[in-house]
Amino acid sequence: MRTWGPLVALLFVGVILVGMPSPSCAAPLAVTGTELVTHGKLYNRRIVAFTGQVIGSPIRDGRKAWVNVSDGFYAIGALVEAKELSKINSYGSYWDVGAEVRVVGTFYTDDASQGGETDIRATTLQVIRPGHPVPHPVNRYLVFLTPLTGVVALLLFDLDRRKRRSAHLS
Amino acid sequence: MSRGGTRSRGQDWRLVGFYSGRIVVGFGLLMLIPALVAIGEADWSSMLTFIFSASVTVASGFAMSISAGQPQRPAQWYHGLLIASVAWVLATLFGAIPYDLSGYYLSYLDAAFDVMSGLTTTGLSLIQHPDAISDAMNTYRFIVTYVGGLGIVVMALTFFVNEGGAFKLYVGEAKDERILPNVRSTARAIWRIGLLYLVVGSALLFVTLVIGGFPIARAPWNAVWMFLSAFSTGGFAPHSQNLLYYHNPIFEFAVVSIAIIGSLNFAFHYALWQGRWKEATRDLEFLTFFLSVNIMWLFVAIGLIRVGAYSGIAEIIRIGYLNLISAHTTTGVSNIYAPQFPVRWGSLAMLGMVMAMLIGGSATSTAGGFKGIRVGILLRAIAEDVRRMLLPERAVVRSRFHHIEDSVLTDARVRGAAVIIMLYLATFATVALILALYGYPLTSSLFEAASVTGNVGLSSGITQASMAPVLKLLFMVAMWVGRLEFMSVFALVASLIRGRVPA
Repeated sequence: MRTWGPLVALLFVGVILVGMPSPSCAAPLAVTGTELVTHGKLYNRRIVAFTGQVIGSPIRDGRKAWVNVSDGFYAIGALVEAKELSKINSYGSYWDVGAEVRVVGTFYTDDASQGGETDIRATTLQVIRPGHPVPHPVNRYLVFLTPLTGVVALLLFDLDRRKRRSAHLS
Repeated sequence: MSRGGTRSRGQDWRLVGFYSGRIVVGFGLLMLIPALVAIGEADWSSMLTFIFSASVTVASGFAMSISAGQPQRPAQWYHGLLIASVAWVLATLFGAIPYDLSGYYLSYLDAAFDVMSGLTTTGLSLIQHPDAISDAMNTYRFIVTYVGGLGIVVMALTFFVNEGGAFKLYVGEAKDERILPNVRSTARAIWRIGLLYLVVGSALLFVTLVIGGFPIARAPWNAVWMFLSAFSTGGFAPHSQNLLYYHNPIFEFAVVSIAIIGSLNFAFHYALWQGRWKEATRDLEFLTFFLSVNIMWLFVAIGLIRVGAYSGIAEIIRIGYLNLISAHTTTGVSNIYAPQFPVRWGSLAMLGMVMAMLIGGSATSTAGGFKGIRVGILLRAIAEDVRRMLLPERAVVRSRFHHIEDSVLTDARVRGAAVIIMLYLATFATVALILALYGYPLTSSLFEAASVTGNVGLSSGITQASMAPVLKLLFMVAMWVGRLEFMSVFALVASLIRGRVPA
């Protein structure tokens, strides 16, 4: 029994090691834009999950496309499969709140294949919350004040013109 | 400047008030352009904001001019200096109204900061959520930068001011070279050059955007805005990521090329337009710029290689060279995030950037900094002094240099250049010291101070809405004095202290 002890222990360790997930299938690190921008080297070439609102416009690059994802502090460019764009119903702008997405992929602080850009080469793009339009109600005070100030400006313009004329005549 | 006695305080200030009022009116009318954009997009909220702001600004400008009364005599040098400094402050205060009403700024101070930054073509911004502002607001931001670059006094001279003493107003805005004999023609030539480049440059940027996969529907706006930003060496961008947003190296190259054009002297542009191509090999200012860029490139490139900031030469060129040109032309566009400068670039590359930002672009251009001509004059003076030491004592040395035309290198010119450079350095050192006292790292403080003083707009991450209000005010003053090259502001301060305006 004494001779079997170390062998059982070794087998146990072996099972644990085999069962451990490899780095490639490790859970992605949930990161913020600030972490990626200020401590980029720590996350370089690691699998990250970045969550935020898609902003602006998608930029097509062959079968891939760039989407810029902002977590409110920094926007990071994510290179996704162009077909993934169909999942996004709206992009953040003045008129719309963009869809909130979770991008999982490899982060590069200096992506050589993209001319040194700081980016995420995404493997998945998951929409967490669809985007929606933003109302821009008119400021009620300005509705009343603008005609007033407009009339004052026109009256002063007229007064200025008359003064200039009389100055030229005299 | 005439030293023949002093005029009554009221009469001189009335003259300043009249012209400043005219400039305020012109600035107010500019706000109608974004109002038109808002109408085109059925954005009634923005439309109202801009029409209200325009009417308040125009009314205030007319009120100033009317209460000051028609000038009884032409403006003198001193008035030109005062008008420029007063008009820039008024434009900042009125220009902040639409920003403040938009709700994208935490305070009126932040809004005023952004107007001063735009007018001085600095490009530092305290705006919140820039990715979510309206097209009308973006158009306004870039118009402010463009007009600031060409000069708000130049704008007024072109459209509103017919009276005598116009050249004295023009000089007050730190533009001291006449392209044409008549100053009004010069002001119009500056606008013609600017507008022609606007059409050609925007078309070029549009093509590069579309080639890079950018949606055609949004490409025209982005092309025009980025042209206005680059040509005026402003540095604002419609998105928080600045150039990174576009993921397009060709577009970046086109933007930087436009920035170089914008940073060149308008008189130099005019000479090239007239077919005087030899100016490119003779002009002291252009040669100084060329030499300086290459020397600073050595600092930046060696610095980046030494710290291993990027994995390859192509990346160093794309990122390092673009940011260097952006710094040297005092544009401020960038294809990296602001905090990456101190974190990744290392002190040698940062030093190269600081020197480039301080030297800046050309005189009578949209750029900031010492200006190439002053550095060239100083270097030529040093070389001549060394030459004199090697010649016999009785030898008569007459130094000349070529800047658009042949000129004699007089002691007065050398002194003038040295004084302005010293003032820039003093302002830079003061801002850097105060930032360091506030606890910011020294390298970042030097970088930010050079950017503010040289009206560049690159940031090491210090400029944020959360920074102390005192620092915001300090930056605004530094941008203002840097853009007007000190003399106008000194004239204003001296007049306020002495209570009289020598004329």
